[in-house]
Amino acid sequence: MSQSASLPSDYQLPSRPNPLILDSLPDLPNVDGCSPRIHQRIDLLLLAIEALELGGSEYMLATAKDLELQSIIDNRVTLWRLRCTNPWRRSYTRSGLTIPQAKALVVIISDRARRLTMLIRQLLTAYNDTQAKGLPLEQHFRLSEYIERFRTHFRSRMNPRRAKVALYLDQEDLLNQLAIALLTQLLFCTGVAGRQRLWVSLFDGEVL
Amino acid sequence: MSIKRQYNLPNVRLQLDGMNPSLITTDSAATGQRPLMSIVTNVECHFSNSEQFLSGGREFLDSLVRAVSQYGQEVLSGIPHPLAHEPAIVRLMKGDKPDRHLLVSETPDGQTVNIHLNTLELFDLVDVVDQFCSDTRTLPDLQLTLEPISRRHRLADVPAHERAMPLMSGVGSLAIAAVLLFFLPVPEVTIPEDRPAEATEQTDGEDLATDDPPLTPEDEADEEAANEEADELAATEAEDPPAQPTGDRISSRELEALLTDAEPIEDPTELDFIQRYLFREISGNWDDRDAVTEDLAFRVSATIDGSIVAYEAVDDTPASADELTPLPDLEFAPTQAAIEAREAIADYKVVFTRNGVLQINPWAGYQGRPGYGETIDDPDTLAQIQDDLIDTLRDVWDEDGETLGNDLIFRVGVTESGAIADYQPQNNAAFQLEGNTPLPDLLTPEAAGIDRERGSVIPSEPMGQFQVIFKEGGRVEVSPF
Repeated sequence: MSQSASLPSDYQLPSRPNPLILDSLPDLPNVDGCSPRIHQRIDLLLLAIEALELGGSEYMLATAKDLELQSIIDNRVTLWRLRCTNPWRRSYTRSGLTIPQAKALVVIISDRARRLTMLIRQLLTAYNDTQAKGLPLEQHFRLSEYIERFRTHFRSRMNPRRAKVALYLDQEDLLNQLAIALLTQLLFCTGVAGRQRLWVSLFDGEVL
Repeated sequence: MSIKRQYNLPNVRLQLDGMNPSLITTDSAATGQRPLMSIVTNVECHFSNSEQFLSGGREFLDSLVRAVSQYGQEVLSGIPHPLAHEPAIVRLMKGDKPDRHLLVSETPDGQTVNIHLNTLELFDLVDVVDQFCSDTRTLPDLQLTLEPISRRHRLADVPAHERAMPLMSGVGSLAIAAVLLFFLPVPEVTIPEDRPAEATEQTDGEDLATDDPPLTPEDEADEEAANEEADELAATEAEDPPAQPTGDRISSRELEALLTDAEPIEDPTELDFIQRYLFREISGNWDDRDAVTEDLAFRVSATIDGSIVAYEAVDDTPASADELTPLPDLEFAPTQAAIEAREAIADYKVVFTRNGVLQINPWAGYQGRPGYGETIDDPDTLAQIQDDLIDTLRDVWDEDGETLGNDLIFRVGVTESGAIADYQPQNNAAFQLEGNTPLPDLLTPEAAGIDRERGSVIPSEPMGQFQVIFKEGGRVEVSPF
């Protein structure tokens, strides 16, 4: 029996209102909320993670628990609501993320990305190879699987009435490029300073 | 003692040789910590894909850290970080393909080393630098500093040469104009014969209205009389010369000359932009609409920056009726400089109708179909702007928006940064209920360079044109115009 079994099974420490891990991300001056563009980038990165690993959203919830982020993301519905701040979504809520909420999602993205480092590197190497040899992306099984899943997720969740979404849905090549661009962004999240890099990059072109 | 540090990633190896002058060898052994490197003597950066490597001292290291860190952020956000490209020992830039990057380094002997990296290799370089920066036992004064870049750098989607086009064509046309104007004689300022009379009249205290009608044949007799009077007063002229046009304000006659000599603005697009600017100016300042009990018509002359330089009552409107309109407040006395510059003029017929509606039309009509200035053509950018516009409008147009059961249709011009810089009602309901929509509040013409302060109400920035329909119940639709 493990040690934790000696505690009553329903015993839970009260979660901290402001999880400590969020302090690893700097508070940027003159920033008190997130723009639609930030909501969109965060949700798309999460979408790419889902395309990388089956059951991705379950892993995200598990990560939230491991990193003591339950006060912000306590269940599936909360996670879904936070992701619906992406204006491209069919179920766009028109509400915004608070800074702690956005930080929590960034922490989850970079943590998941770090665990998927090998796969991400593998796929990008495959992409480089196919590009160098002028081969179609479908040539590489694992890469085409990622892109195919990403396209399916994108199609089923994004609102085709948005002009930008329609553009992606209309041009498969553009959507493939988006999938690869997101994979590249995830790669940059896997480094030692990946979490901070992603967080600060979200505000590029947003601050005065 | 000399210290060596190495940071390894699959594609990149960073090696630092340095020392710590204040350190005695036994110290570190006692604390069990790695010795602190406080001075770096040599840095080498090796790449698995290349025989070439970069090396240098502290300056090189500083430059490497800055360029790599900034460029890493650029790849993540897609928004260029100018610091990564600035002249420095180490620079990083986009390569010939989207997933290629070019690392350029100047060696101390003046040679340039170019290393091509793919995205994975670039990432390893970024991470090797991050690992070194976060190592507190190696040069602790060098730390990773990450800052988002300002909104000013956001115009990333338009290639630089396209952004430079308006500037280039502007400079070009200025040069052409300068060459042509060089051959024109400098206009001589001649004081009209009858000036003394006028000057005398002024000293007599007679009011000279600026909107004196131009001389007609009927006036010739008067003019002759005035000339005679002028002859009589020739002696006085020497003692009391007429005011030379040196000050800012110019006389009514000079103004008249300006208006008759000025080149008319004929470009329909320019006429249209000035007209919209005038409409907003005049309508926004026309407060007491009930005071107007009959239609008041004026001929209004405006320059390219939207300044009303002159106006006169027309169509049986009494000259004094301007007091009921905002025109006297808006009139902008042209300066001597304006005359010398021979500013082009556009004339409009402005009617203040008795039911409180303002009508403005070009005096000579349009010679052709007005456009909307330079347009954004890139479908990707347009789609982004359209989505941003929908978000903006949905946020502010809610159930309380009163349409009286109508669809309010507008054409809206939006800049690349998403600013609404121009709009125009497209149906009568939109015209009447414009004030109920959020458009007047959201309008920032300056974003497109429509700025009187800048000297022109013609946009200098390209815009995307959209049709916006405000519907009842807080619904709004946006489509390409």
